[in-house]
Amino acid sequence: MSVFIGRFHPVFVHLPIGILLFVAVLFFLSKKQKFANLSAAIAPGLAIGTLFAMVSCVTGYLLSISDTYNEAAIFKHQWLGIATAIVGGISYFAYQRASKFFGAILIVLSTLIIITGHYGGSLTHGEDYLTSSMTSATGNKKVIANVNEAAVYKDIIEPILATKCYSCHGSSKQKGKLRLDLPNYIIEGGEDGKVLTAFQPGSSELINRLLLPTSNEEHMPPKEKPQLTQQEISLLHWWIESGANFTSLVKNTKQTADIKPILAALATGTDAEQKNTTLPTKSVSAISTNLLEQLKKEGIAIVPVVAGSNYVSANLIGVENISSQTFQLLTQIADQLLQLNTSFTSIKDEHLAQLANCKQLRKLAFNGTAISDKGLAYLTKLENLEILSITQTKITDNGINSMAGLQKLQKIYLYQTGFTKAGIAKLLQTRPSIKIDTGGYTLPILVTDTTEAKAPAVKTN
Amino acid sequence: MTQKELHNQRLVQEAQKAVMQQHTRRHFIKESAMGFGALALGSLLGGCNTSSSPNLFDATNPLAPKAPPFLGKAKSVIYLHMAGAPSQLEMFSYKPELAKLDGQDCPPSLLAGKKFAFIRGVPKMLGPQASFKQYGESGIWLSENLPHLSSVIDKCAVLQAVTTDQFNHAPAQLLMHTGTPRLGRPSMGSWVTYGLGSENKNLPGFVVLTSGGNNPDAGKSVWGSGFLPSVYQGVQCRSEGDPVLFIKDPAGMDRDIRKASIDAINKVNEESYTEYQDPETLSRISQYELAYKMQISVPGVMDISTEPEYIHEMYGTKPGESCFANNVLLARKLVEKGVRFVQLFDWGWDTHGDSAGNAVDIGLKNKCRKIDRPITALLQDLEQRGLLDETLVVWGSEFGRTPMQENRDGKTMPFKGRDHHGEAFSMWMAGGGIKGGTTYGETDEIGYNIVNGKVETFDIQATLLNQLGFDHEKFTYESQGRNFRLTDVRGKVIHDIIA
Repeated sequence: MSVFIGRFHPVFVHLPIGILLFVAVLFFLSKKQKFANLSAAIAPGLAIGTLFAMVSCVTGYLLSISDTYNEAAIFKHQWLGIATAIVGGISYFAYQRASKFFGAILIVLSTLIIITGHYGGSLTHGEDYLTSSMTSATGNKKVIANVNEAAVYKDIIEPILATKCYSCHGSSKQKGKLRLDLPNYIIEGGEDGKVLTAFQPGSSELINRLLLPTSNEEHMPPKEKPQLTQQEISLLHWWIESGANFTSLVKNTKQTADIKPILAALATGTDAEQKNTTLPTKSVSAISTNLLEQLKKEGIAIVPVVAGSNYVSANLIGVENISSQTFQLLTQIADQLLQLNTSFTSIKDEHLAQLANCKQLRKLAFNGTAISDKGLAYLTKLENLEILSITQTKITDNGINSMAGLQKLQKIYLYQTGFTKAGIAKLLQTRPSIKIDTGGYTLPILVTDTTEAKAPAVKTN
Repeated sequence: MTQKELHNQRLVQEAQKAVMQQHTRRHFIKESAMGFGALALGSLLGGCNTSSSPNLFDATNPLAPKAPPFLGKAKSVIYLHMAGAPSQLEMFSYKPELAKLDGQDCPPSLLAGKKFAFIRGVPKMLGPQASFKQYGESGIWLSENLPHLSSVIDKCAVLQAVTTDQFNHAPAQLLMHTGTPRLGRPSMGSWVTYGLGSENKNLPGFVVLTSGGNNPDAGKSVWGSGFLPSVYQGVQCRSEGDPVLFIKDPAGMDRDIRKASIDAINKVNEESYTEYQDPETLSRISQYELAYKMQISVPGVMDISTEPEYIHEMYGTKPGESCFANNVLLARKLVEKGVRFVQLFDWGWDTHGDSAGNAVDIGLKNKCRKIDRPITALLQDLEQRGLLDETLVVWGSEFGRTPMQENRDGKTMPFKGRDHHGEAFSMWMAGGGIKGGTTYGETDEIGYNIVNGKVETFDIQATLLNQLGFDHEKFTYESQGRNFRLTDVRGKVIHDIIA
């Protein structure tokens, strides 16, 4: 029951703050002749404010004994709160007796309210709640200059815990009797037992709670609080998997293939996740509705790559008659066009000349079309192109090698084209990182493909 | 009054009666009281409804392509469902310990408190009826029944500990595909086409192909649209003869007459819509138009005889027949043409041991032979066409099979068979941003219970939606006054198998 009443503390606590500060405003306003009539509200205001201050003290006390808070942090808030209630009472009697110190008492009272409120806020939201917005603006993402020399716990893990966990599991508040701000507390665990099993992230609550769906009550951090990013979870997972050592350095810790890009991203301060997507970070204006109408009339399916984005992908699959007018329209959305699929359409070489300006293109496919090397030559300026799919076309080595200058190109699909092994080898010499799929896979004919297992042929192993 | 006058009078009366029947008391109440009440309530509640996703249904163009809420890896899905529940113990789940127990009585600890579909009394344990080896760089264990798939297993993520709480085919299939073992909810494909539309305006967005001689036990509800507008239900096509029944214009009717008649029907429907404002009427109009376009486009895309010989050899397809291989090749053709969701059902995996065809050492082997080659060809063919990265391929069933030999009604069966087993079975996913060459989940030494990495049917659905760019918890549709999700109140994305 006392817990239930205690939980009303956040409700009641705002009443004395508002009422008493408002009384102070009224008092100083009422000194002016024009607002003199406001003074009538001062006495009842002080009485009601003080009453709620006392209610807040009681509920606050009940809350403090039921929940797990740091005693030192509670101490200040508790006694300042009680002081506020007492000074509130004093100010009421001072006003009734028209004391000449009433103004001074009101100033003391207001100051007390503000300081008490601040400590209360720190208890709820974490000590750095107020200032974190300022520090994050100046580069919250700490760049680790030399990741290999960095300490896994001190430089990588602790900052994650500090930003995402300390506010409830730190020095001032220990929800579930769990502290995560010092190694010995992390090892100790909370009221439900240990949270960390070295080498076994799968049996560590520290990881499992993060992976629960946000709708689950056990999920950590609570869904209204800032969540850990996928990389942060991966880093924690890696740290526990490699033994949850509090002193070892990155270079002495075994690195999995998954963790390497994330560690590399720490060095540059970039987000590894963002690098893998094909979405440009630069914002772009939306395509005008008029233009969209025209594209739609032409039969082109224009879809934002992700809801709310102005970047789009275009599919010409529904266009019966492709003309230069079709591509004229596409050049008008050059800034927004990230993906274009013209596979199995009547697209011709000369149409591609107009695509040369669509420099945002990440992915381009014209499988099964009449495109030849001549058309491909128009695309040498598509500096952002990552995936090129030109299967079932007349393209030869010449065309393929004209793509060598595209620095971002990652993958080419060449199934059923006029490529030769030598031509591909030449491209790979200059651009070894490009993945080339030439297709033409076959499956061996096995006896089992054409025979049936029969009842008499029963065999046991 | 003459006979003719009497007749006319009756006609007028009937017409008036018909109008009155159309306009029921329900209409009256709806138009008067409900209208105002709903208006007021709507404005009151408007602010509360912010967390649900907006209704994406545009009755005039229900299949218009739409953007996913976040950047998905996959654009389309090919879902291969083996109806009847293949035995994981002869395909994906390597259990050498079970071989040692072959022929022994099942220990009572495994039977206590359990309810089986057919097993009664104390059954005997049945060792794996296939030999296993490790394949690929990943070293995944596969049985001899999958000789082709073993060559591309590094493209697949095998889920070894899928579980369901249903032990009969129909409810289990419904649970897997609609998120509930009961009727009435939309299927996965319906959700996906509702959310993403389809990029090819001349083809349906959600196509269903069945093989094996029967439809799945749960019937057409496993590709039904539930409470979603009916335009999102799966379109079942046949791989033999006309892909869609009556798709050809009948003799004596040319394209122009067909067009004229469809235009006339649509005009009548439009009038009906202006009168009753039922959005289903608009769906019907767009369906007529789609049907008209499909008469041309579907026979083309559904005709596998135009594919080159080496493709037929690769898939093991036989044009003109109705078989799983043909459906797999069709699935590739459809996805290539921009179809969003292709759902294949292959019937005949219910290996109880009641006949040679249902024996795990005979019939199951033959079923495997019929799917192994085409599925492997599908993965390779998608890869070489640059489609595997954006096409999620899912293979699975509604549940698995017991490590015990079935003893229907306590009697010995004529052949080696296994009973239904929902506690643990195997599935796999490939392409569409799935991390190939991974296994997730583990079962005990005999494949009876899950040890770790449990995957529920809801997790499969959540992962599928995730790969397409949806948060399964936020992708909702309002029906009967509340928001529904495909994954109901469950489901978590299997992050461990995502690249």
